[in-house]
Amino acid sequence: MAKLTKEEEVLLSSYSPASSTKGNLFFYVNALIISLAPIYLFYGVHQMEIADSWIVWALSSLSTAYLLAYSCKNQKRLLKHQIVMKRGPAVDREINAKYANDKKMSIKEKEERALFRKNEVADSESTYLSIFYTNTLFLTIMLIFAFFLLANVAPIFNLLLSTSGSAALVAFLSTAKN
Amino acid sequence: MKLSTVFLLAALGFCAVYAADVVDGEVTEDSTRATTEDDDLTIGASPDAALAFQFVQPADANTINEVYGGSPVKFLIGFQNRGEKDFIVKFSETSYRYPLDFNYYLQNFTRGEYNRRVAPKEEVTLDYAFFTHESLAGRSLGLVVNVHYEDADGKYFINNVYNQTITVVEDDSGFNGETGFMFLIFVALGIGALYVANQFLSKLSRKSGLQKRSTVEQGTSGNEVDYEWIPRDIIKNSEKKSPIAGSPKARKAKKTD
Amino acid sequence: MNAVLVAIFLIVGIYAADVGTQTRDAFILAHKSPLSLYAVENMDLVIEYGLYNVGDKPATKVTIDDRHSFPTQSFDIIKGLLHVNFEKIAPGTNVTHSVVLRPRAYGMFNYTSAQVTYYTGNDNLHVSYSSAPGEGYIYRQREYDRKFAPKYTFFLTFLALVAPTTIGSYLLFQKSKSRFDAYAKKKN
Repeated sequence: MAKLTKEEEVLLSSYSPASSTKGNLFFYVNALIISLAPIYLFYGVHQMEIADSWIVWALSSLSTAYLLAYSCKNQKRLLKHQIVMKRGPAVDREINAKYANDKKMSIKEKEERALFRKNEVADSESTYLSIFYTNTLFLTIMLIFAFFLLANVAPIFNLLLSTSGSAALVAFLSTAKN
Repeated sequence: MKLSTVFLLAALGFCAVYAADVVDGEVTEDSTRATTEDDDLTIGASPDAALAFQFVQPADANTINEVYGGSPVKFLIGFQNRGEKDFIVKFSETSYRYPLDFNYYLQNFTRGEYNRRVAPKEEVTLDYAFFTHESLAGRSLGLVVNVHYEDADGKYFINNVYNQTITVVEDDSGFNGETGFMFLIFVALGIGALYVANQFLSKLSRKSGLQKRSTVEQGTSGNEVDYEWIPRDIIKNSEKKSPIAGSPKARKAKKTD
Repeated sequence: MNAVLVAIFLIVGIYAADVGTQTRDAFILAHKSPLSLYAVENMDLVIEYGLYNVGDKPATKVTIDDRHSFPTQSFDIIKGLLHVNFEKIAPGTNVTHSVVLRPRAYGMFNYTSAQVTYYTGNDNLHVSYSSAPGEGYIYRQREYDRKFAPKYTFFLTFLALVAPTTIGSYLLFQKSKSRFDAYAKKKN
């Protein structure tokens, strides 16, 4: 149980599923926008009264945003593994090409840099891809629920069930252990 | 005697002409056959009230007695108070009767409740609309419209405003689903027929195309000699007789063989 | 005998003459009805007035006055007049007049009769009231929009709201991916 050296800590942190603040910010902003858009849609299509329904709006947007952010993070973790595998060779070549003329750098350092770069690339790519996947999944399920399955339910219940329900479904799907 | 008969006939003639005076649908006095339990007398119209009737929709129902099935029929009842007291128009009842016996009710429409007070020397117009079902199309029915009203003393009156036989005609103006879809099916069949004809024609052209693709004379091709046409012994002779190219050593080798 | 018959003849003749004069008059039936299917606040409502002369004589100086039933605090007049005159309506003919109004408020509204006055000859004044459509409901704009307004604009703005994050992130992903695919392909 040796204490972890700083290098090992840095190495471990680069492999952890936790994302940087920038990535988290992406997730939260995205979740907020995507949770507010269906409210605007329902307001327009069903001409909901603001005075009567603002409580339901607040409730649905909060729960949807939370669930979407959660599922984005899960999805990103899953995708990062896959992307690291795929991008490995390409990143190595990039690093080699970049430091080919630099003879001073040892191979080990190059490998380290390659690893770091792989991590960075996989991180950003998995963030983008997870946002895209989660968004499209949530939106299609929400639209199917709102305008086909629950079309005859009163607008307030329709909004709550379709947004929170589909967000919950997406969150559940994102916890798959692939 | 002759003069008296002439006078009698003239009197009868006048009565006949003026009793059945119906101008433009305006009926002044006509009693119905309704009876009540308190009087033995029939309930009739009040002499102080003048009523008129006019179809609004269909507009030509006033002249031709035709009504369209499946679309609403709207009419107006005019009530003119010629007396000195108020009248209260209570309701109008419309019904369809059997054309040969107006006592037999075929269909009773909802009463048009008005409860409208009409002051003396005033007139009021009341409207009513009813709907003839499409299944009655082609039949002639008796349409009877009665107006029930009361005067200020509470005396009850019923006035018949329309009492004629009308024919219910089918409404052809709207989009007929059957003919519309029939037209669509014929168009589809036409397109199918064109497609089949096209297939048939292309098959025919393919057959002639096969004939065209049969081997065409192309002349000699390449540098190869076609040995089929040369008899075998000449080939053998040419092999022997042709000068042998190459070094004398090869020639010598050949000669010794 | 003859005298009795002459008497009968005279009575019938006088009576007939009386009956004859009874029908010689103009009689105008006034019909007031809304032409629009739905009355919605701040949307046009069309009212049609029909005057039908079912009498035998022409009706002169016919006026329709309906200003009292559509007060200006509740209705705007867009087109037409609520107080009109017609010089003469011949017997057996009809006249229609329509007015376009705009209700300002929603709720129940009682459509009352319009007043029609006309003369037969020069001095015989008739005061008539048209048919009244009765009580009707003026809908709120929101209720009408819920059912009849076009909804595609809301769908388009919804897609526009959602597109930046979704499509944007997909494009960024594609950019990065194609960059590395180029590297992989370049070396091979």
